[in-house]
Amino acid sequence: MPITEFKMPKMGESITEATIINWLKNVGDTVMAEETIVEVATDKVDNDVPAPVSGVITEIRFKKDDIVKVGEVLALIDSEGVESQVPTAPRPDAETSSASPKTQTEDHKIPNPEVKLKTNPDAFLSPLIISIAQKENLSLEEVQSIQGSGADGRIQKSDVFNYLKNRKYALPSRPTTDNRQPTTDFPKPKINFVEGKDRIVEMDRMRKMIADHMVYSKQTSPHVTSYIEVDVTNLVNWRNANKDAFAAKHNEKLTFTPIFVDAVAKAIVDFPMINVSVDGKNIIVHQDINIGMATALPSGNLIVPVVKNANEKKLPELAKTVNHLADSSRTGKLKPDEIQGSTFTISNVGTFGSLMGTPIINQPEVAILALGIIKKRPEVIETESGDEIAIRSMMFLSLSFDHRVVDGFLGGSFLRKVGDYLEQFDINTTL
Amino acid sequence: MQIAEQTLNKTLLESAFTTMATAKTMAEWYEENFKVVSKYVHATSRGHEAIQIATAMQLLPQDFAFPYYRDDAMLLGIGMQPYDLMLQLMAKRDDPFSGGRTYYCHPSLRDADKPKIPHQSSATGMQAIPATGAAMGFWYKENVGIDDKNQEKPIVVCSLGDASVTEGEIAEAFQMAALKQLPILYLVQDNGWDISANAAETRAQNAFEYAKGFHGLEAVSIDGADFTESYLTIQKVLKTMREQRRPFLVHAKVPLLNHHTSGVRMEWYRDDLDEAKSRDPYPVLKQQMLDAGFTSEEIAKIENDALAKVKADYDRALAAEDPRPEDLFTHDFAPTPILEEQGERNPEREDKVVMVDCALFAVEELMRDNKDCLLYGQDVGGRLGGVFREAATLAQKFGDERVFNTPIQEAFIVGSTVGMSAVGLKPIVEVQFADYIWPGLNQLFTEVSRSCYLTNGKWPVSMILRVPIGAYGSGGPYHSSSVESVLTNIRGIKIAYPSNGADLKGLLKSAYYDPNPVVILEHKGLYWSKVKGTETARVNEPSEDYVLPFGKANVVQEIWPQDDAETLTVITYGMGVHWALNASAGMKEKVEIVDLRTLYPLDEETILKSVKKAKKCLVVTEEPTNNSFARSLAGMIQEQCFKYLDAPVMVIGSENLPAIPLNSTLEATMIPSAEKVKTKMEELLRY
Repeated sequence: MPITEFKMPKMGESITEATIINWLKNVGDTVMAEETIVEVATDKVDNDVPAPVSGVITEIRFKKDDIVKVGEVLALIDSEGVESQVPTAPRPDAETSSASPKTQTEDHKIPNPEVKLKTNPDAFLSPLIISIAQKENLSLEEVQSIQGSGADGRIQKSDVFNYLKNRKYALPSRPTTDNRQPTTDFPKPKINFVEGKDRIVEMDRMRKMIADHMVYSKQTSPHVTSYIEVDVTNLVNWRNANKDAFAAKHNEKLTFTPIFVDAVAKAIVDFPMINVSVDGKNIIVHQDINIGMATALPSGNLIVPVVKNANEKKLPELAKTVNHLADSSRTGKLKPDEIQGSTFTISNVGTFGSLMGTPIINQPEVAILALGIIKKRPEVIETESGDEIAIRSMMFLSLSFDHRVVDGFLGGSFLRKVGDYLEQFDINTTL
Repeated sequence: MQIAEQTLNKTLLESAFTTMATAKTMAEWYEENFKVVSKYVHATSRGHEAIQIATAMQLLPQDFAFPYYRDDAMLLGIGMQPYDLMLQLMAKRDDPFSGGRTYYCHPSLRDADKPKIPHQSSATGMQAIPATGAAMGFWYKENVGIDDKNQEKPIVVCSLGDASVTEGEIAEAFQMAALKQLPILYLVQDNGWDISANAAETRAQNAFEYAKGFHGLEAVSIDGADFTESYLTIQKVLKTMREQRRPFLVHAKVPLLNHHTSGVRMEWYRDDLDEAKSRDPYPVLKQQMLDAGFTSEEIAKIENDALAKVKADYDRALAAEDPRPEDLFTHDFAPTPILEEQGERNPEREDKVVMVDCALFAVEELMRDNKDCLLYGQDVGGRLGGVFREAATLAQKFGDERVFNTPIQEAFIVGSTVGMSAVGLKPIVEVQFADYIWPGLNQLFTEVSRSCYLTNGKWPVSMILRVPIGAYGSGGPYHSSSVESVLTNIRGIKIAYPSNGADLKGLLKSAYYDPNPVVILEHKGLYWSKVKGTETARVNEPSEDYVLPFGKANVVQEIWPQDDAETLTVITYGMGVHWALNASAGMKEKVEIVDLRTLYPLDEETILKSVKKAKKCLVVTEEPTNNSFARSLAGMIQEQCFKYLDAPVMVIGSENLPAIPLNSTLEATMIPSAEKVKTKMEELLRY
């Protein structure tokens, strides 16, 4: 009987695990190749995972809400009579269902403070492990960073003791008993809940992640926001004049967003230190310029699809990418790869009628640009015949940046540069 | 028997009438104070007094009496005071029978000057087997010559209501009394009623007629409401019994004049009250008093004095102290003298001895030194010496009166030990297979296990019940079962489950010296070490003086604490010890094994110490795991060791199915094995 291992697929370079949202099939069900068997969720996106082969599901190894590492076997499919695409496994039994502890033990990394902790916040800690951690003054984070050798990677007693034996330095994150105490006496404000009138809405998964991300970002990066006002009359005129022709030629709607992305990408090329991340004492300078665009979802949540290598794309291609990402966001069809790897984010708060905003940085980036509404205003302009008042299309740009690594000079210069590209938009730009 | 024509002397009549007047007054006084005394359920003898008093007056201190819940007049007849009975009525601390633990007129007594009364349960008819056991004890003592020859020979009185004679266990008791010609009087009081069901609905014949089926059990039927007739009949019967040593049944017809109990009122259902009242024993005895020359004034004085006494005793009893909360915890067991391991456990010997012979030699040594020690059960007698040869040669060595076969009646085998123990003997009895313990469980639970506690420590039952147990070699569904979870759920018994011959011998010896009931579960697969991998059950037989106290587990495989490796401890017993030993071959340094040796008392200290060391724990049992002793033990360990555990406490046992099938493949699939235990160990080690 050819048994196919149905594994958690790779969904993107940085994705190592995913949470099972829902099994659409049960043990005993017949599935066709490419038919969706299970829905999984990664950091931000839900994904349907199709069957690799046709056959009958003989075993399902993880439950709803389990977190599964990429490459782990999710289920077994008996594809009798169907040629298997994946190497077959021996008869499934307890012996083979979990990895040999020996090979995993060899994987023990000697902990090193230079290495960023890779913690698994969902790792189960037995009562004993917690007791040891308390005795050894290990933080939860540090315990969770230990590679587990137990079933499903559980951290066992021996893992902790081996870790302690090999640990050269106490990790900087290692807290003392004292600083575990709350630093403020400020009492949590009481929420007035009126029984029968008020209602409780439980946060969904994405909402919780957004909330955590926002708090994390504010606590991690000291935010500073700069503002400029930009005259985009030429840009607006050009776009209004050319949008129908553009649509006819490229079969794509022409919005302002690709034009903004283009300007931002060019400015980043001029100021590469905006396109960085902070890793401990290091600044990682990214070579690719990947512009995230904050997008509201119909559910009320927020997602940030990414225009990859924006500086290498011409306007039509940018428009196509932006439109595709916006549509996919609305219909929930974003692929995991499309929401990863942004190095800078823009947020078009003008969409909601806002004049300007003070955006929160999308970690681990260091700056985020908010674009206000484009509004016609009487503006003093300098002409050859002297100052005049003219009706101009104006917009505010605001840049929040991480003052750890971006100072006012860099932030202001970069912001001004974005404004320049927009103001000096070439009205002769061809489609 | 023309005894009704005879008359009794005046002193005797006056004494009897005083007792009867007191009993009657008490019943009436309880009714008058119904609101107070009906807090706890009670029944009175009203209508039954004559036969009860007639019997009680003729009992000697060496006799054993088993009065029943309607026998308060009998208790007055042996010399108890209204105050004594009322302390129990109101469940007071100084209740001389049970210290407030059991109901009115459920006596137990060990006074030097009165007949002895072992524990009386409230289960109808169940006292017949313990009572017959006491008579068998007299029979045994006289046979082996350890009876007290300086006194009149003792007898046993077992009081029964006729409606309880329909119980199956009564037949087992009658059978043995008739078969062995035991000195027991079954005093059957027949008032024609169950509770609301009457004789016509519940029996094909009364006890007198029923007794005729038991050859050698002489039966007499009398008017139990006529004191003189009752007294003279009992006098004649007891004289015969003391001289001829044989059983009697006296069927005494009586009216029931009061309620069945305080909780079931006669007005609700009785259709014969007028007829019953016409047979009241009280006016009969009064007339016999007048006939004997007492004046009405003298009789009235006796009645007035009785009322005054009842009132005074009632007030005193009402004012007496209630039990204190801490009184709950006393006398579940009598103290045992064996607290330390003594003697030589592993002496130099030429050959190792199989487990069954370790037990055989232990019993032989005990019987050689102690004439109070005897062995009975099915097929343990001389002809076979036990189906497992566990009693081989014993009958030849000690005689058929000390080692004998019983009929197929597990209830009697188990329950008779209550009476045997009460008359000072140490019975070792046997149920042939654990599968057949069920008919004996009622006696074990109802009578044996509660005797010490409900008599406030007066009557611990000193007995040993040997039970061959466990599956091996296609024993099939009725010769393989494990039952320890049922037994461990009976509080008041000690339970051993040894895994080798040395433990079995030491525990058997210890059980002999223990004044409490002990069940020893002996795995048939270990008896001869025929099952592969059980060779260690064979031992150098321990010395004759070797004793092993209960409640001391044995760490049969010990490991040291290891921080950097995964370790586990196996908590097990019986065959599980051998599975664990074999399963851990090749990983002995990772697996500790604790052999419990006794399931009650449980050596919690050793268990918890081992679990706290190993950090992971597997409980191994042969029973199906659901709701088992092992599962409960795992729960206790989890509760006590939660912070020390690196994995859930796991349990492995048999599959959860109703029986162990006959076919060897099915049997092997059903029960654990070293291989299955090994797989589970590996699962737990890598958890």
